[in-house]
Amino acid sequence: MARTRKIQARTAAPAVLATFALLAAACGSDDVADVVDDVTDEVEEAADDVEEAVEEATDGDDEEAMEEEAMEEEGTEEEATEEEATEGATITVAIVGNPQMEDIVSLTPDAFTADSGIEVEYTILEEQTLREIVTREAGAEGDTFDVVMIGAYEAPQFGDNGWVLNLNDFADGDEAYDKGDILPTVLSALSVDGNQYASPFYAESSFVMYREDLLADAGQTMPAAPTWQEVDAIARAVDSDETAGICLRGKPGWGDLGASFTTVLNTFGGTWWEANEDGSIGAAQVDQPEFREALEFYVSLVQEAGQDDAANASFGECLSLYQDGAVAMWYDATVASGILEADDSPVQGLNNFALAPVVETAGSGWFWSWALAIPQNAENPDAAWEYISWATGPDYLVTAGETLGWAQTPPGTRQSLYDNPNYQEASASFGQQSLDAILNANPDDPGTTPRPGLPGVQYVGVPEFQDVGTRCTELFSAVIADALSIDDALEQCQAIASEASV
Amino acid sequence: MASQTGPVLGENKVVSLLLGIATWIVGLLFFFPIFWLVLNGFKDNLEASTRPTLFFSPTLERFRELGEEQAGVLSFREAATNSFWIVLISTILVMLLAIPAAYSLAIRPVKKWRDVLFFFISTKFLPIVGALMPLYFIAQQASWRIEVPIVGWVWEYDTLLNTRLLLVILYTAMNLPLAVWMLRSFFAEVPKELIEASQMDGTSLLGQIKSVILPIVSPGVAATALLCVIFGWNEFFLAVQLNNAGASTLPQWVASQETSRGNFIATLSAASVLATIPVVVAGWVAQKRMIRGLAMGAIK
Repeated sequence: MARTRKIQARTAAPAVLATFALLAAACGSDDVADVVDDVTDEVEEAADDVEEAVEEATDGDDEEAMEEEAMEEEGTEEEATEEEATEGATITVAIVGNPQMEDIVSLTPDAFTADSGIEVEYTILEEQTLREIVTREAGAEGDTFDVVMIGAYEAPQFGDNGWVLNLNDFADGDEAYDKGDILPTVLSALSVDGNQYASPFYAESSFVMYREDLLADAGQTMPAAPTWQEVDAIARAVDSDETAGICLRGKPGWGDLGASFTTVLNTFGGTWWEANEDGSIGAAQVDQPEFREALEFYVSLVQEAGQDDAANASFGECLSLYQDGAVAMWYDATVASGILEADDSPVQGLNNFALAPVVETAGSGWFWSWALAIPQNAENPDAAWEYISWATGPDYLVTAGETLGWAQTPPGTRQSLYDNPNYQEASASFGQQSLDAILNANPDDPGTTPRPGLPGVQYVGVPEFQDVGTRCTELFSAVIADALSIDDALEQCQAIASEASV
Repeated sequence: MASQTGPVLGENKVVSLLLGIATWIVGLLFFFPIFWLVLNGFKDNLEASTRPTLFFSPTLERFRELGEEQAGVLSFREAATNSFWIVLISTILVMLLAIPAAYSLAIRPVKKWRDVLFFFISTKFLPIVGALMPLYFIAQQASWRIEVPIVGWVWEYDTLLNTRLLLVILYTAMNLPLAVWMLRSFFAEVPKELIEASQMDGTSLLGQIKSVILPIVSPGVAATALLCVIFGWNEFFLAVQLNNAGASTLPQWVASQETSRGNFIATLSAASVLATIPVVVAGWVAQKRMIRGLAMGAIK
């Protein structure tokens, strides 16, 4: 017995030490001693609790005692928040994790709470989870959040359903908010019939990013406004064993492959559905020659001159490959340019940018915005608006630029940012192209035929698109991975899309 | 044990060598993702998401960043504290309910105990997502006020959504059927002779449980409790769906390290490492005790 115990202690010691070391590293400025104290305290507390619980259990009234204890925990917390409520409102904000949002989180205490007295609690969620939860909260009349971040796809639909408040009532009387400063494309994408349902925090279009040095080495030049045929030729010319010609999204998902591919589809003259006269979903158009042509073009380009493992690549994977020098071109969100030109980027200064390639349309870039909205049941809409007005107002861009660096400001929402000389200097290599791309995006008429539903470029503005887009891009991704023929994919996708037709 | 009954697989040297190699391969296959996760935690975000490499200059920077606390954002410390209390209280509740249940199913079986046992496990048949909306509405509308007259304490709930109490209740309910099943099989192994002997001595029911049965089944109780701790600690779905503001747990904290525009693999790996350590240590310590306990028989 004694021997076993000794061995246990000897083998357990390194593990415990390693644990404390990592915890100490995690607790930053704190001394290891503090951490150890904390941990010991917690363990002691826990031990006390167990003892209490066991004593009470043996006394007989076990369950009640434990429930009371659980409630005591909650009780103290409730009291704490109630105390805060008397000092000033607390609002809960659900956001998606991205670099610009992380910045606003860090600026909130000094730049917002200090002035307004409103405490802000953030819930950071992954994009798809945020979408699920916000949709459910909105539909089930939940009041968990005072402010939610929604995308350009959801904003008009939620507004139409009455799930989020009409912001006109707040924005029109708020001079500091300066609604006229918002880029017209952005404002109209978040509005229905002149009613604004969300306030843009960030907006992006899509364009081509390319390595000037690698293209020059291969004797290629990129036009400022290329066609897809030109991009295709350049990609094939620069494609080599070490460096792929172009990075294109191939990962299934309506917002992944679905976004890139739909912009190509639009400019090839194809579409997912016809629009009925009343704007509802008409016949599926996946079996039309334009759709096939666009898919064949996309698949052949990414298979023959694209990145390795293309069927699993989306924004993150392409970003890594591009920064690593493994691809010469990349067609994706304009916001990537800021990351590529950031001071810590290995490819800083090597890049140039061109408008989204076209075939039959004048432009083809997508439009996306992350925007803040107030759910219909929010407990404190006035405090929520005060927050939105600050977070998406013109002054925040200046605050963020001055505190964190101008290249880090959330792009794409306001003219005043692009007029600011500091920003112009910091974004000299990509600012104007990003702005042009966003202003050129055309959600109202993205292709050659009318679209059903609400406006949208890289998606169709109907709730059914999420499901259809995701299921079809699973098929298309399989085609890219050579696991399915184009004929089969188109036939199955046509059947899927037809289910949504009215 | 098996060797007493004659030649078996593994006696032959070649076979045993091959078996050994196969075991190592399978073991390494299972261990590799964990190894890679830990390794990534010590890299730069860019390094971790570009070409995989074993050789790099390790940094504690990710762990330091993760430990930084910002007003209004779920911190590691806060999430770990929430997880700790939720898991601790729910596990204690489960054990308090499951031990008597296991006793009545194994040692003095109630009538139709098989049906009862089946009922318990049948509550796990429904995919939890199927119960999500009802749970959401019930939690949303649950509200009460409890006053303790003399001391003057008041507990008031407008809603159960986004409270630790909700997760305590759900995790207790989630783990209870499993705990009853596991404990029943441990209790069933308690020798009847011991119980009869204690009855002859005139021990009360409570005394019987306390001084005869519990010492024998304690490794089983420890194993069951550990499993409840692990399931509660790692539970993500219910937490993220019903508890996404104010009382979030560690798995949610880990998930919040993802970003939609940029490299995050190293940060996410470091966060996963931090969240994993407590359960690994708990499991390791408990495992040694459990094996020792299981190896010692009651009447030998």
